[in-house]
Amino acid sequence: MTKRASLRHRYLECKAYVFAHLANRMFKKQMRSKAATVSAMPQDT
Amino acid sequence: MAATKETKYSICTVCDIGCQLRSEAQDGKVSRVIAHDNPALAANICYKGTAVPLIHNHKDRLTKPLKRVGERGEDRWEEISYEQAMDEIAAKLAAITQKYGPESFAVSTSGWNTQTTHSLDRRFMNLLGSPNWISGVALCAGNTAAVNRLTYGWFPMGDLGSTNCIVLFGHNPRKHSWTPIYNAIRAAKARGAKVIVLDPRVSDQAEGADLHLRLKAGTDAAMCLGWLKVIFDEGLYDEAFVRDWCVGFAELKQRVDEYPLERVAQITGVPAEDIATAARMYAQADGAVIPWTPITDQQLSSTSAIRLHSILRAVTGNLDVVGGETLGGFSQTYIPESEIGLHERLSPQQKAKQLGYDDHPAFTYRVAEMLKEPTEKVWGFPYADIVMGCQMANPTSVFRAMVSEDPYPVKAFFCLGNNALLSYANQHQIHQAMLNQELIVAHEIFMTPTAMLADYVLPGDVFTERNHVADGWSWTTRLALSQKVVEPPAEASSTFQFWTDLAHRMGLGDEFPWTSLEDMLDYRLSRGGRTFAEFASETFMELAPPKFRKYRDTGFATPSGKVELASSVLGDLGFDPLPYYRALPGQSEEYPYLVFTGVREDPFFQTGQRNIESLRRRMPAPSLYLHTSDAEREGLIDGDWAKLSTPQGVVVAQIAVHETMKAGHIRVPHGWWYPELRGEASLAGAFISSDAVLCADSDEWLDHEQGVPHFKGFPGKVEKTTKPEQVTRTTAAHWQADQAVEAHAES
Repeated sequence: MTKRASLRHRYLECKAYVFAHLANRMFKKQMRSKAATVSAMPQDT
Repeated sequence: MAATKETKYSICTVCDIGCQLRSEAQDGKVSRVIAHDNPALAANICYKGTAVPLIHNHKDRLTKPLKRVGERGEDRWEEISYEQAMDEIAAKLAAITQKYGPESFAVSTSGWNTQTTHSLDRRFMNLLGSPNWISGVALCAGNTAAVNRLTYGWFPMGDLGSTNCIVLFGHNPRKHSWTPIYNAIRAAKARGAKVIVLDPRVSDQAEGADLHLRLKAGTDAAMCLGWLKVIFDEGLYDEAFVRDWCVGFAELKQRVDEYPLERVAQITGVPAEDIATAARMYAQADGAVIPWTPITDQQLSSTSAIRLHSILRAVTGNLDVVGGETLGGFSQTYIPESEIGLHERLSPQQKAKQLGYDDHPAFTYRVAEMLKEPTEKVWGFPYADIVMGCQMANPTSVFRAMVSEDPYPVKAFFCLGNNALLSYANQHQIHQAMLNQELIVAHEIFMTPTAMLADYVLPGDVFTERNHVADGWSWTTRLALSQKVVEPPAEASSTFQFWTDLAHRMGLGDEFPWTSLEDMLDYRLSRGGRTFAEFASETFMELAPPKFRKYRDTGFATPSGKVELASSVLGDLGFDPLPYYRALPGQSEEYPYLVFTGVREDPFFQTGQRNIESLRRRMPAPSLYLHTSDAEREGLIDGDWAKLSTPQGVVVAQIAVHETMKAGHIRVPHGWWYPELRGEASLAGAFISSDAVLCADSDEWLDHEQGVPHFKGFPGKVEKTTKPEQVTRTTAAHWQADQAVEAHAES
């Protein structure tokens, strides 16, 4: 593997790792904001 | 009072791909299924998914347990309570297994349809003492997983997000079939990734491919050997990886030398220079994937072809690297089904009775036992049941035993979410097998030809009626949430409930301590220190951060600890340790065409959904596809009805003439029957157009190592006929605006 290819792999590996963490945070954030929206809605009585 | 409306996250199980989407319910009924609200998932929905309210609320949905009152297959029933049904089933199963032995009990199931069994079927069978579990995954993905393990100990998942080259062996993901894969391929192409398609047809994917090799059906193994010849001769393989991490290279190279490109071109019908171009494109891509394909699963040389895919991944340095194919391993936060199944509790004597164990062991307990130690060493648990497929009985061996009672009687057969009669090769044998049973139980959401042959039919639940956390059967490394949005019918049960209730009635209750599906999910999530309620309030999906080149720390889960280009397991079992191409039994003057079956149509998944009006309108009758020149020769035009004959059987279907077909080939769709003929034709027309009638499973048509039948290129002939009299609803207009049905579903 060339040095350039090796660097590209390292970059893509880091990107994949960071993507998983960021995606997990994004999914959680979306759940929290959805829960907050639901709890702020007027409830049927 | 205002109408109550709820929206929940769901995983669709209408097909096997598991799209994440949202289900809405109004006043206790599913009212809509819509795309996910996360942009990364929003495109993953097809028209089968949006039809879910029409499926789940359909007027013909089974809601009451049924007990047979007529002759087997006569389709006459009385309604009984769930409790009575379970009491009687337990008593009869106990009597049968006591009389004939526990191995006389077989189960056929589809995890795609039942979703939440949590391997309790295997747990129940293992505790009872039966190894005879079969599934459609023996022909589709599960067997691929098992064969991949022979090479490097796990079943990898392609990294479509970073890859530079995608190779599709006959696989054709499109907008309404395998939708997430289709979307991922589109995204990869937009980034500049190349696509190579190997398919006799000009498929949807082939139309947009960078390279399309129109190989003869069933010759995948020869094609891969040709690729390896180019890769080895031109030094395009990863020498360091092969040197450090592979065994058997010299033997493999010698075998590959037996396949010069001229020979491969002659076998596959693809010019040698095209084969070489494709091999170079794949090997030089610096990140390439060969995603799983159902095509390679179903061929005479299936084991070799699957092994060759795995070998290509390894020697080109695409294994467990970014942009290549990664080995995920068990989830670290969710107890895998492999543990719940209690495979270690089935005795060696009973394992050795597994049907298929002696003749076709590749995905049976025989190989699972040989891989136990390395699997535990590398992955932390000895039994890796990936895609449910790594310790199955062989379906053909099971049906043969059901008919002949050789090597022993099989007398009780349970089918859960599985229309077994139409789901494996040699349908007439399966029919005979079912007629020779003392107890058949079906667990289904609609009446099927298989269920019509049962003694008891239990109504099942559907994905909008149950909670679940999906882990892709240990193939993927993500956890995804599916939430219940409505209650199931009062007498319906999940497969979790079915196996739990049966176990408690048969003295196995202590081993089934979970009181509800949520209790089971709490147990499985306990490995990550969470409950289901906590998981569901926290996220709808969790990705495990990827780790690459894990083998550097652990080695591979094979006996040698390395990638086995020559398989020691196959060698020890007396098979050829190296991959090879086995020639197809040839066409003849009588049967001049190559027929390929098992093909999925967009509106349907396997044998399902022919009763769903909005989907059936899209494809009201089964179509035989053939090339214009073949149609002309046979005097056939679009819309004619034709009889397709093979040495095994005869079906009729409507002709569809397509330039995109390869001349000399006929394509048959999978799983056709006619729900509308219930009460008018025997078993609702199960033998009129079903591809399983055409497929042989005699020894000459079975792959040696796995014993899977050959669906991709067997001899056949076609001739014009008239439409069968019973089949009347053959145009979209016949399925148009069935107001009563759709109003029922929507009300």
